[in-house]
Amino acid sequence: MKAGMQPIAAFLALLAIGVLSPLAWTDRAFAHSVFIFAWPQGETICADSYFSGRSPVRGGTVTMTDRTGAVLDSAVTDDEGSVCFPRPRTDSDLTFVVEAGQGHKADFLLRVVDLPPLNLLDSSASPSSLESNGSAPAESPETAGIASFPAGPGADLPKEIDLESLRTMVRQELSAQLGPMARALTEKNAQGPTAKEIVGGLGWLAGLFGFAFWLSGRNNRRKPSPKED
Amino acid sequence: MHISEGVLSAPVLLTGAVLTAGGLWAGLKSLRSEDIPKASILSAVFFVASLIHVNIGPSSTHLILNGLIGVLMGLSAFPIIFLGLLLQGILFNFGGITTLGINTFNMAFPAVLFGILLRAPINSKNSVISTVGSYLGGSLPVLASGLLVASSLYLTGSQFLLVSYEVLIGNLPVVLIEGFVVLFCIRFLKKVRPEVLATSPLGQTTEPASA
Repeated sequence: MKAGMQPIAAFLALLAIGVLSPLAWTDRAFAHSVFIFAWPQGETICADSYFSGRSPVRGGTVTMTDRTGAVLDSAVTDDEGSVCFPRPRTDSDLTFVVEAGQGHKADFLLRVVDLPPLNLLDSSASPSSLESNGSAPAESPETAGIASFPAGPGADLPKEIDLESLRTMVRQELSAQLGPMARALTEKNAQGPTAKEIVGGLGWLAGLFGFAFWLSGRNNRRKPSPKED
Repeated sequence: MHISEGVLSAPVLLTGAVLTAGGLWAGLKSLRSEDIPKASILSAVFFVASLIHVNIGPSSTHLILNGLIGVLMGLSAFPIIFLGLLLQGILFNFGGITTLGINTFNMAFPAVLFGILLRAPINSKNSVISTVGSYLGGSLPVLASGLLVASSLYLTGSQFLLVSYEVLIGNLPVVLIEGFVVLFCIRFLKKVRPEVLATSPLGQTTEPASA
């Protein structure tokens, strides 16, 4: 029996190796686990959603709800898996839920403390130094906010900056700078399974079935004994 | 195919868990000692098959290989797929723990069903019937699993036609590819160890368990 099992075991082992080798270690290796991340960007709130393996969720529906569960806005993701909403006029934690079809769903909670305060947003529209921020909701996080600062040491700074405007500027600048970092962190989370996890899982399976084999062998050894007695 | 946490309603989850528990009990009972190494390797194959990403056109999905398991192992597909899904859930974050029952049922039940139904055609001496049977043994279970996923979502409130369309279109490449995978495997096994196919699925448990 043992000899008979060898070719089959060898074939199935080869199949397992064939399945593992070409794709398992590359970015293309992925299956459907969904992630979503949202962050404030200027006067908008943007969300990125990925499948594991960093493949963007294209055409997924992202819904923004407040603390009570009321739907504030809803939109469909673009080819990059991104979607942006105008900052809702509410002081509430926001939950973003992405539905990627076929039962794939993920959510993300954006706390109110991470959102720019409404009063600052409203006041930010007036200072001349910030005009470019408000008018560019679709800018990339790398450029949003930076345009408002004059480049070079010789450039003129606004002569009068009140405290509120300064605070708004700092907030928006921080938001612009931290957005890509937060995005990178999400992408890291959305990476597919690592070699460690794959090999670990195979080890678990070998162990579990080894245990089953041992149990089965022990039961088989026990069964004939009553007959002999 | 892996339904995430928080998508399905409690009755659907519970029904899936109960059906899977029954399947596990029957599957473990039908698993013979000499088939354990085969089950182990098939479970490993299932565990890593989801990493093979099929990306044709706008859809992107992954291999499932439940048909192969059903054809080779019959009822034992339940414990094999259950363990694969459990480890995928824990280690890869695919699916989830609460959806383990329904996900196992959705993938294992078609595997068992078609594994049994197609056993005769697959073992037929007529090569055309055997080839068609083998191909269907790989593709039909994926198709049926897709419909079960759509049904699970429908029972929770999604629009059946919309979800079915999504699932079917999304998995169409896998349906077609898995037919060839199983066809290739069966042809190979027929050449190397034909008795594996003749004795594997349900009904061939030669040792009477109750006697």
